[in-house]
Amino acid sequence: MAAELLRVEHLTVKFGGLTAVNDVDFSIFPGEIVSLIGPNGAGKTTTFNAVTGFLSPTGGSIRFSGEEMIHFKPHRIAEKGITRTFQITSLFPGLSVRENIRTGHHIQERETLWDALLNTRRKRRVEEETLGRTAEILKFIGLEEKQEAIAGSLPYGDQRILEIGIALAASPKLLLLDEPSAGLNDTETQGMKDLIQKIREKSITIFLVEHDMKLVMGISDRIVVLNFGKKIATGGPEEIKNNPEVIRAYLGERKRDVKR
Amino acid sequence: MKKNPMTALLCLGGALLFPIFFTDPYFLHMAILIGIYGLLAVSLNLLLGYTGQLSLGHSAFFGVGAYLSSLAYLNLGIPLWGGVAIALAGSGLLGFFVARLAFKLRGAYFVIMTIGIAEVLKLVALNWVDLTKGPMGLTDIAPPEINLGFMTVDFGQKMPFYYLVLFFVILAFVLQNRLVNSTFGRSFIAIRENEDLAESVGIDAFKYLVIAVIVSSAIAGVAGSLYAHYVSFIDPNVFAFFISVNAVMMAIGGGQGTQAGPLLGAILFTLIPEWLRVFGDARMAVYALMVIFIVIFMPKGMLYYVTLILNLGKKSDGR
Amino acid sequence: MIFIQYVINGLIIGGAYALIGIGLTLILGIMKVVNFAHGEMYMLGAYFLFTFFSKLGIPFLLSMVLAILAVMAVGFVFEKGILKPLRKRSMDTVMLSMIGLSMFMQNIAMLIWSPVPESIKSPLTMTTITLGGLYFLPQRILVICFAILLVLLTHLLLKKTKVGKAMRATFQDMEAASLMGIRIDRIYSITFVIGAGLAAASGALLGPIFTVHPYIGNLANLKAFVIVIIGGLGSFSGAVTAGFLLGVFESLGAAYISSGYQDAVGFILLILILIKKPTGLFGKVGQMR
Repeated sequence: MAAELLRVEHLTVKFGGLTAVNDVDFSIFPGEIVSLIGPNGAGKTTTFNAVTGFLSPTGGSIRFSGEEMIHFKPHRIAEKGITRTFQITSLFPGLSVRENIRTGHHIQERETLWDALLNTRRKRRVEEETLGRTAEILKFIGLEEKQEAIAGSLPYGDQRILEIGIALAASPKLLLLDEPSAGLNDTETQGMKDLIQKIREKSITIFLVEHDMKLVMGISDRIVVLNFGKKIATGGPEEIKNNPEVIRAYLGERKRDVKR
Repeated sequence: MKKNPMTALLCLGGALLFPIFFTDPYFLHMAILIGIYGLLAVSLNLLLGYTGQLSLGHSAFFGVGAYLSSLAYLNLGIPLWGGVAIALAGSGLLGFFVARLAFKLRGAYFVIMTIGIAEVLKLVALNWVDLTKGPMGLTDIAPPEINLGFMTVDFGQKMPFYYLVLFFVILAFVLQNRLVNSTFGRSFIAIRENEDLAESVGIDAFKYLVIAVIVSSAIAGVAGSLYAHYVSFIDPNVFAFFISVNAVMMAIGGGQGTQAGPLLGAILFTLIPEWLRVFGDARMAVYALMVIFIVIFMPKGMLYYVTLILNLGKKSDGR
Repeated sequence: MIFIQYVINGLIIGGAYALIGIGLTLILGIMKVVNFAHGEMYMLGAYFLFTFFSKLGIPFLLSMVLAILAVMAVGFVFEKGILKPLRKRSMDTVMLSMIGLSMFMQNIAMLIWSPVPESIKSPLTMTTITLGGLYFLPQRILVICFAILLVLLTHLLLKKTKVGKAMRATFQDMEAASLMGIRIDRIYSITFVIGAGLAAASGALLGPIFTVHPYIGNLANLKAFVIVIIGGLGSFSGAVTAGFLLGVFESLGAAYISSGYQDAVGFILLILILIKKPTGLFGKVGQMR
């Protein structure tokens, strides 16, 4: 059996008196697409933030390819091979689409001060490679035609795709997508689904938070379910669909909505 | 805006030939000041224009550079060349401490910190009379003479000093150019545009901000050193708030985040305070109104509007 | 004995500091405006007192009240004329505009009054009261009484009145407050006017103790920011505490270390606090970006 890519154990995140994530365990294996679902406030984005270093967890362990990464800063985690998108659209708004993706290549492209000041051959070679890879990614995500457009002026659907392109530019082994289909219509969601599958074909493991159940069921190998910060179920789509606790958790949410 | 190497070469040529055609000492004096402030403008542009951090305390680095260089000369006999190096190192070091201290604070906190540091340094310069002679200031900071065998170059004369300043200005612009066209510059811009996103793709915001501050402060220190050896007298007013504000105006008014902006800004904001002398005592009041006007109505800087106007002439080439 | 004298003097000046600090806290916290012209309200408070009392001969206490009201009127004009149009602009733009405004006011003051420092010969600085071995200028007693009075009044305004509640709601969440029907424009005006008034009171109180010149606003402004940051952004009690603390530390620093560096005390405190507890003594709110 392949070694786990990501192993999260006893993850706990407390904010003052509130426990947002409570003793959560799960693993992700290379090549999988794993979805993290749960009602609003279940702790999904908090978990994401903990795994990507935007939050310092209160306790637990996060191992990536065997290496303990808890309390690492985000840029270090990116170096190790995990990148992400954000729940709220996150781009470099003033830069062009191409420049956005180019910036994502930082880890490969960065140079020493020496290289920069002297404009060495090495630097120019790396620059060419980067521009080449940027062009590839633009084609891969389908934004080649719009590469000169300013990111902030793109339509919403394209912005969400661009975000993924930026995260891909950093050559991740594990890509975290935070509600990739939020705000997308049916056609765009289908496009997103295809893109995610294309990404998997490039041997990138995918971990996503999603609310769109159709997308989740259609794309995931495994699903992890959170409720009130605790993991209540994990398994394949069929198991989860029929899991009484999961149904209760979501129904409970709907009941609360109805009462109001 | 299309970058045009021809324009850059033309400017360079013009700058090199300037003292030959304009021998009036007043013009040379203005040109030298423009050069010195140009360094200050480049330094601020790196910080404000590229990383997006506003500093209203750059007079701290300018002043430290001026004092270190002057004290090195007066007490240790170190000439300008060494003085510039010491100023660069000293201001850079100060920049390092400011950056580490202020990193956790952004936006307004950082601004207040920088203002505060300049004020504290002014107080030190005023009170540490043994070292700085307090409000009396340091005098007789002479520029050097070089003996080249067939002639002596006396940098006390305006023309040679002009070329000296020009040398450093060119150096600063090349440095700016190299930084901007490298991952350093791209990281600065990424941090400005969206710091969290930048972090998520591997950009260490702390490291790059500190680098930006250190480079910025070092350049400002060099400007201070050149200033001291040019006017040959400095006092605690080198830490004046006005210098910091004017430097920011140069960066903004010229066009922040562009490479040519600081030069345009330096020209404008060295000359404008001079031209405003016609208003006599109301001079600074008018200057203040200009600041308000530019900040509110021309935040993109002159360069942006100038290129707009120039592009109206062209048809559809360029951007 | 003399130590207590220093401490008490420090507390007195601290009272005036607390006033200017509270004013800035309100403006910063409720309006989210980095008001670099706050010190100039202080300066105008002192100058208006000078004009009303020393030049026009209006009775001292009445002059003080008039000075505060006059600055509040000026503040109202600035809020409506400059800050309101800039509501949607970036924090940097507002900050720099206020800096321009502050420079403008300093220079206008220089033209109207004169760059020569003036002194306000208040009737309360003419004699000294002795109480149990300690010496007091009556002016200083006025300062501390007035300061405490104004702090209490402001506190009551915020806690007990409808306007105060609206101000606190706006501080917590401007959009929610607006949705609840609070007229934000009106609240902002009131906040700025009160803030300006408090700064003016500070200036009018300290004016007779120190000299008055067009640039006294600079240092007052910086100290106000230092107080607000040390006290914790948005914290009323923090600003009050920090104001008194600053006054005491400055007094002791001037007495026992060196009087030249007195004004640096605030910054040293600021740097220490920022290293240890960046959110300030009482702070809860996060950073301003």
